[in-house]
Amino acid sequence: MQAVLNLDIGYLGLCALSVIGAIAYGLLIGGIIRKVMARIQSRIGPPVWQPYLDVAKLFFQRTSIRHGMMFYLAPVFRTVGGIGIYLLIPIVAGMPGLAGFSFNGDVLLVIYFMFFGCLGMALGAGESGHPHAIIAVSRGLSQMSSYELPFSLALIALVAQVGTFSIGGIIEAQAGGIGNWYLFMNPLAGIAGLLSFLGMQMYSPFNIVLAPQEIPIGPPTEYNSTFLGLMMSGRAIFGVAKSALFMNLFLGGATSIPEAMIKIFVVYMWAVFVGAVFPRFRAEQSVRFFLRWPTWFGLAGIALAMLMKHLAS
Amino acid sequence: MKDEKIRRVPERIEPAPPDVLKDRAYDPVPASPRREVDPYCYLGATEVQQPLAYREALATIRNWCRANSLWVMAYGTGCGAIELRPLMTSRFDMARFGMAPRPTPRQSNVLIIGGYLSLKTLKRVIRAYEQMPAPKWVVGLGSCTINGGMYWDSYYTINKLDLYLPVDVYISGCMPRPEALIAGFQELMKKIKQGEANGWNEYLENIDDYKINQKRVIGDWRMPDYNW
Amino acid sequence: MQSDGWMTQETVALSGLTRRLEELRGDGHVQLTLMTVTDWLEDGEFEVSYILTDPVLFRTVILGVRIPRETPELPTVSDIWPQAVTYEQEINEMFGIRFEGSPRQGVPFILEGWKDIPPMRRDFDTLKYSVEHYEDRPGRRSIDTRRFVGRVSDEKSFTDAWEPREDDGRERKLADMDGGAAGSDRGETTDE
Repeated sequence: MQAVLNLDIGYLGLCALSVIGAIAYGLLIGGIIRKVMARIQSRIGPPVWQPYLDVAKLFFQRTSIRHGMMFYLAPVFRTVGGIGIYLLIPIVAGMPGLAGFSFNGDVLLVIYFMFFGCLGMALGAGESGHPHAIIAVSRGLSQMSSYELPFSLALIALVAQVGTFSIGGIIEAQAGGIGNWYLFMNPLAGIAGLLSFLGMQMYSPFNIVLAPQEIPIGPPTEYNSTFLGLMMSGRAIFGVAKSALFMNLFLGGATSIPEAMIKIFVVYMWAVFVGAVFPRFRAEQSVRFFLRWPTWFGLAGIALAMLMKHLAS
Repeated sequence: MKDEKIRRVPERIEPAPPDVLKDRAYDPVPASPRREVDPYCYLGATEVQQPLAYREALATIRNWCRANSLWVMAYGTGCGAIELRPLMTSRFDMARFGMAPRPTPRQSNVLIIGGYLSLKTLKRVIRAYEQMPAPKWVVGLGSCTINGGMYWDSYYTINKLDLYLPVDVYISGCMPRPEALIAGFQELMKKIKQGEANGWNEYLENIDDYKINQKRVIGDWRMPDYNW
Repeated sequence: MQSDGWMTQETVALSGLTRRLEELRGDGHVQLTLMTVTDWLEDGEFEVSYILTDPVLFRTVILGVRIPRETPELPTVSDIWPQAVTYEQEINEMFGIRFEGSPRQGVPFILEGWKDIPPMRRDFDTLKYSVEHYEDRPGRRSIDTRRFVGRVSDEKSFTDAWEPREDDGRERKLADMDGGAAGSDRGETTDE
């Protein structure tokens, strides 16, 4: 907590810069993803800067229709949830502005923040009054609670093995080469984390929430113009933050900005390539999926972690 | 593609109730009833006046962003919607122009009228059009929207779309090929970049005339006058 | 009764309609494929046809019943086939035939706010209705496609057929209704 109390204006400015950079990088990744998906489908695809144009256009819209207070606040919740996670997670260890406000126990806070954005989204979708939004929110929340279980199991295995609740401590424990990365040290928990990350990113097998064909675009059905632009920015930084969290927990963190960018990109692309191959699950199918194999992998990962700790001591 | 001879503003208007057209000569922009009511939906005239150069530069950037990020409302109103599928998929791929299909009117900018419009569909199309946020454009697809096409003598299809909605670009043909659609959308982009595609402004300025025309053909008008 | 191997056409009187339908249903024709109407304007009758299919033996029966145009009323079959409700609703809307006991009679199916006579009747002039209610854009040319039938497909005969003639139906009808001044006073004109 010492770092949080010793704030000054310069440090806050650096943090704001890094937030803006993360949003820009998240949007760029979004453009690259659209290009990659287009090439997979043998299309030419939009240019990689298309998300910037979309967001700019949305902020330039001239009218915006509102439905109430929660409708205003939901994109703010989502964006603030994304920024909150992003600022808590150390992106590059030791670099001012990117080191994050890491302290002991922040893993739990990060998981809470991930839920926070989605809950805000659910409240806003409910306020918009559109039936499709409410259907999508119920599907999304059930899917989210199902992928939280294997992710929590993987995290318990990790924390039990490392012995700290701090992300910084987890990164330090993985220092010293690829072999120390938790993905390879405890591959069972790593697989559970990888699979639940698919659900977290909400790409194709698990994108029933947005479901562009059945229920028009899901929770943001009624969102338009500036609200939607804010939500796209929030989604960009949310994706970067989640990938960075995964990178820190399982891939050993990063020591420089290029390394962080490459690792975040690779983690992102894992979800995208899986999404390019597999069709969409229905809500109950994805719940069943997450409660079956990833959960078993997570439990086995905990057992493996206990065994390794026992052998080491 | 671009037919300048087509008048967008309807010419033949039945005599309206006098209170609707009152003082028209002194108020070229008739106030829509919701304009004062809803302070969140500002409509151009209430914008803060900035220096001219700043406004021009901003308008250039704005129009460029809008033209290169057209979100299309995927609402197939007639048989022309079948030509939108090859436009979206691999062969003609409209995503390379920055266009994307959107399933909800709240997020879309372009409303494609894909062919004939029966009155039942026209009612829904008007609702969808009025629910779209303000920089919005209408593309009339096929000869059905221009003069009725092969449904010129049908008892339940309108013949001239621009009496009821402000059309920015017409694409002729029955049906136009996807190449013609691409040419039409490029024409629309050019007009947007030059700031000429102002159909939604014309709609608001002449909303009383449009409403009279719409209510004349739609028998049971059970909607509010403007469907936000 | 005409029979074409697998397809049979027969006509019943109005009084025996329900009994015959139930007979056919008991005979294996369990599926009501279609209900449709023919308007025999010259005879002053509607013919309502029930197309029934036997999905096991692939037999089809087209059962027609003739009713007078003045009193177009029929018993409903929606208690035998529930999907007939939609057909009966649409026929009620398009032809004005009333089905006794059927729900959703008079509820608009396609024509919302329709005030004229039912449009699928043959004495309804759809062109006249269209001209009266919907604006035309002048400059439109309609070519009777029957002119092209049987012609040698060289260029000259094609252009011959394409030339507008005196007997183009649209112009003549419009001229009749407007008192001989078609196209000249109908709003704006296009520059040729």
